[in-house]
Amino acid sequence: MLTTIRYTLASLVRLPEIIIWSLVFPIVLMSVFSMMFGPIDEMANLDPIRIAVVEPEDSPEGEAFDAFIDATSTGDERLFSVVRTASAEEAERVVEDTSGDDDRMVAYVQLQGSIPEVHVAGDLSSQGMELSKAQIVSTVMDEYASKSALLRDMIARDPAMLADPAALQSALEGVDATTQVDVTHNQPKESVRYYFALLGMAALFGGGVSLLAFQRMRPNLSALGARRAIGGLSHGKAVIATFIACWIINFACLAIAYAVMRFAIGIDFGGRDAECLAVTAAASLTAMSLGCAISAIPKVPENGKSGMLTGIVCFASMFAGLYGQPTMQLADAIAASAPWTTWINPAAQIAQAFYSVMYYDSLGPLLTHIAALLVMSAVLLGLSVRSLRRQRYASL
Amino acid sequence: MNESNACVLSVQNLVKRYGSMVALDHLSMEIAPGEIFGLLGPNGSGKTTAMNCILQLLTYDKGSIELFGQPMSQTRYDLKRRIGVVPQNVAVFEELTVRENIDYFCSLYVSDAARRKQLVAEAVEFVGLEEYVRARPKKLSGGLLRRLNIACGIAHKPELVFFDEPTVAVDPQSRASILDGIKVMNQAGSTVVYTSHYMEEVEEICTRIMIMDKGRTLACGTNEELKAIVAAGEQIVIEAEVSEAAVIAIGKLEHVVRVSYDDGRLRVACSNGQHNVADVLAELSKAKIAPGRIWAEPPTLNDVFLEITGRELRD
Repeated sequence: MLTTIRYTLASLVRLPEIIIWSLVFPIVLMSVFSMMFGPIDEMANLDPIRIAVVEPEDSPEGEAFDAFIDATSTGDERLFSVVRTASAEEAERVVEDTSGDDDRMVAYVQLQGSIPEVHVAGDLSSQGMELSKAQIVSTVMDEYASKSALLRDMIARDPAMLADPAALQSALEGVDATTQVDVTHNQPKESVRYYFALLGMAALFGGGVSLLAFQRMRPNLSALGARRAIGGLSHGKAVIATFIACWIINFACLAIAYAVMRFAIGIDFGGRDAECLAVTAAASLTAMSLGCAISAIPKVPENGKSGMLTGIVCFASMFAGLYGQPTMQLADAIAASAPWTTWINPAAQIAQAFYSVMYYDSLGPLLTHIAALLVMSAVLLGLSVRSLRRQRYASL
Repeated sequence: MNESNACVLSVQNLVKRYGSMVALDHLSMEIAPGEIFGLLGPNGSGKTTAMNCILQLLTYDKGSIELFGQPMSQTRYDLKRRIGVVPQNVAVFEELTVRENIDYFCSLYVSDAARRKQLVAEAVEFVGLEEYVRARPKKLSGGLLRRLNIACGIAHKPELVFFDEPTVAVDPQSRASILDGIKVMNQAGSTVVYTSHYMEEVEEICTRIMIMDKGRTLACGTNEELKAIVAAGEQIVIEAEVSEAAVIAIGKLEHVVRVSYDDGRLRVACSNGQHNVADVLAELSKAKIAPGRIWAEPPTLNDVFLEITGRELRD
């Protein structure tokens, strides 16, 4: 049986169409997605805002402002990227000099007394993020101005506060009306839905591996099938060995595609690679069962069965949201009005299983989707059993 | 039945129908250990159908099949492991090399890797494919492919081997090599079932022959036994320009069974008369026809087939 697995593997991986559909196809599509969605994802990340700051005078207010600017322009989560200038004229010039840059400076800040004044560049584009960035600079500086005024007032009334750091901290902290809670495991990205749907599609296209492999086992379809059927290895073992070989190929191809998604494209699953590989394994199992079930359909020529697999995979992938925003909305609408359609759609289940890994702390949703895939596999294999068991035919 | 004295293969009253067409009509045969048993018949006579029924690839309507004294069924893998099959069409993996193909098919019968390695090496040597072990089948000529097909079927050293038309579309050199190989296998202890529509091959290697047509057994016996059942004792062939009247006159001679004239050759099949050649020459002389080359041939299996069916074996 091990030899059968080994040679089934060897014979299948040497078929160019197997490698093209199982491995090259998803990687090429992922690369295309990466080029398409990379800039969109990039826009969703806020880079430090570039500003110029006029060096303040030597005074207690100036030192405090310096410290504030240092605190907001250093570290991993800094808010500003600062260029310090000696004068307002120089700051204005620096801002103007960046007007042609993709990520231009939107303002310069000058401390007047104890109040920072924000001078916004006059030619900001109404498109994109420039106005929003200028608004953020103004808001932050206003916050600084109000808190420093509050502190000065409190110290003037009660200088002893300076000896009580807790009171100072309390005065500086704002009253939070809301609390930020992370409900997902990772930062959501719009584009990952496409990658997950693509992995679902790629997995199901891998069903072509088992479709081909089981076609080549049938005595009534080829001389090779007949020759294998009369061998001394039990038919059950031959079927199991072939299924295992197909699963190994599909799983390996999907694992490579996953690695490309993970490391080359940079979709971060928060260190849950083992869970992702479990999804990949279950997806492969479902895909192999689908190919096996289609191969069992009688009186359909081999090309017809391949076409049938392609049709099913493309149709299922549409409802997993692979083909863009309109179909994604359609898929969401159908899923909302008829949730059972999602449960019988292997492409959707694979995509949602990856989604669960990425966004849920709990393993519950993931296990539910994997269970759905396993049930689908069992049903598809059950439908194929009669055909798989058959060894004798009325005619060849 | 005790296996030690059992037939290697016993088929009784096998009936196979395709709709209203009867492909095998109460076919029976018994093959003893050590035989090379020939199944001879024209294309469509039921040879391959009979083999596929025996191998449990085809369902059949009636009859019983025993291998090594035990009933054969589709799940008798213990029996299947004792037989080898060389199918009519080359059946190998295009993506595997010669050695990998032989190893794969051998693995269907032999699980021990070390023993299999030795068996594969012997099979490669047996069919003379040593130079091609790393080649893929598409790189092989038709004759070499046939040899690979044979190696895949016999590598596990089966006790009973089925050869289904193994020399179709094979060059004369490869054909001779294949037939010699079958004889060597038989001498080494394998029983062989050989199906063919080439009577010369069957005559050359088979110890017993069954002639089939339309799914029925027409005759069965050794080469000599089969020829003894036909009336024609010899066939006289004369190269000459012969008139139609002379052909008719020769056909009326006492010991002449059949006469035909084709391509400048007069063929006269005679029963066992004392002076058949002299009688035919005398008739030609009367018609003032000068004979060219003259020779006589013993009866062939084609004569046997012709005698029984009225048709040539290759019709």
